[in-house]
Amino acid sequence: MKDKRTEKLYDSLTNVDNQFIQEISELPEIKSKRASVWKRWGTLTACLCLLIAGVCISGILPAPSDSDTQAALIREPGDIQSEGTKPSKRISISLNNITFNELSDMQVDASRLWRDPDLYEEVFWDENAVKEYYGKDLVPAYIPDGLLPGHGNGTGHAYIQKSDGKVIEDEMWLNFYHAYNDDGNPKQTEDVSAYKGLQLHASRLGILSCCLYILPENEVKTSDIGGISVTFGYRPMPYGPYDAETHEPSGFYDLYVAEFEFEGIDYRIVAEQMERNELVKVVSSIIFGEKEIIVQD
Amino acid sequence: MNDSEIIELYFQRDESAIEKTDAEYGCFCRMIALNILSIQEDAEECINDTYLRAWNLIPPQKPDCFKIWLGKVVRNISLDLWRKNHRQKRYAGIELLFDELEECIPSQANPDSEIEKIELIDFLNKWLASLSKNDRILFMRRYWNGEALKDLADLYHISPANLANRLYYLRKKLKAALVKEGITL
Repeated sequence: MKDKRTEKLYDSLTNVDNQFIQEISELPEIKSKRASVWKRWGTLTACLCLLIAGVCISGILPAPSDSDTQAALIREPGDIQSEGTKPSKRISISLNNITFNELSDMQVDASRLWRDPDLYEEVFWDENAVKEYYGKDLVPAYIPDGLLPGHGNGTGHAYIQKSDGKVIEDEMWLNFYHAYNDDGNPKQTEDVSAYKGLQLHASRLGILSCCLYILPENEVKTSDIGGISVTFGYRPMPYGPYDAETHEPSGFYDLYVAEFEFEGIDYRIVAEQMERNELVKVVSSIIFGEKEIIVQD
Repeated sequence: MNDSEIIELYFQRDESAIEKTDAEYGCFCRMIALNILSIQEDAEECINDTYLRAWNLIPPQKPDCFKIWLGKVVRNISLDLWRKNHRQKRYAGIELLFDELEECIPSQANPDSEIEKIELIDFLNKWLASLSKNDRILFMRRYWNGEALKDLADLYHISPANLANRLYYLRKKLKAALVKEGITL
């Protein structure tokens, strides 16, 4: 049963001053948006048509020859190359050259600063405002199959200093998860009670929270992708339910992190229940701006 | 038909009062009940009980603002239904709201010094008044109307994660205010 105190708080909220209820009752009510059966079937049919068209086109166009593919594969450690003259570049990365540092914790100082509303204004940015501020679309060129963009991706909020209009907090994040609940939050997987997908954080001013690695800061190894220094992290994350007596988790899932700065933007990508090569592909697609990435084990 | 005309029908014991109430405020009441209970049939049961309660209470009561009065009745009846049924049924709406509001509760330092409900309402009034209008409306839409995060995120043109973050700050703010005032629930 829920805490009686929560119930008391909820119950008391019912009887707050009418003026506060009036404020919200005057606003237009949100109609729940449920797609009609026709709309859903229509979307499905459209997807199917696209799929069939895709298959037909791929059957008509010649497949890339082995020599084309081989030409894009760079096997030297740390060496990454793209085919600049071809319309679709293929970037090849070897996992042998990527170091995953063990994480001891995530976002250890994730507590947010309280901004005095007299001094700072919280502003909400739509997609255009975000693109204008960052000078680009933050969506990576490559998103692993089966992941869906979160609702409201590309929008965000920031804090602006009232005295001079300077942006002082600008962290944006984008979700790409396998499924979402009705409220828009990611859905946990059925077999493992954890999310499956990616979350991308970006900031021009610097991401306030940080990951904590097992190694001392000066010993954490970075990996070179296209001349950009990327710090990769890994942690086996326990998931519940936990045993009532031994407190042992039901199991562990993979959590990978990538942190880097590129074109004046700080990035952090957190991948849960994903293969590590998928995270490397996403990072590479941001750096190279290409979605065709080959990651070799 | 305006509020005073509908209430007049109640005073005349005219059964069309229910019909007029439903036509005017049915959507509003359904939204609250459904947001709290998330089960259509139970929400309908709440609406019917709300109209019955209106019929029984008016007269002698004569609400100043009928819409708000109805909203409070729906919330109370929904809460009663949750109390009655929550062991058998999982009401996703209110369970989620309770989960979130639980974060506002300070640890119980002294159970003997529990605040009276009337004092808590007074405290909440002051706290709500201290918020910016935007924050107050957001808080009330979520915890009074029970509107879904996704719907609110749509309305504010931000991601649900950002909105959840804003609500998180507000809950923390409420908790800090409760702690500051030394209030034990």
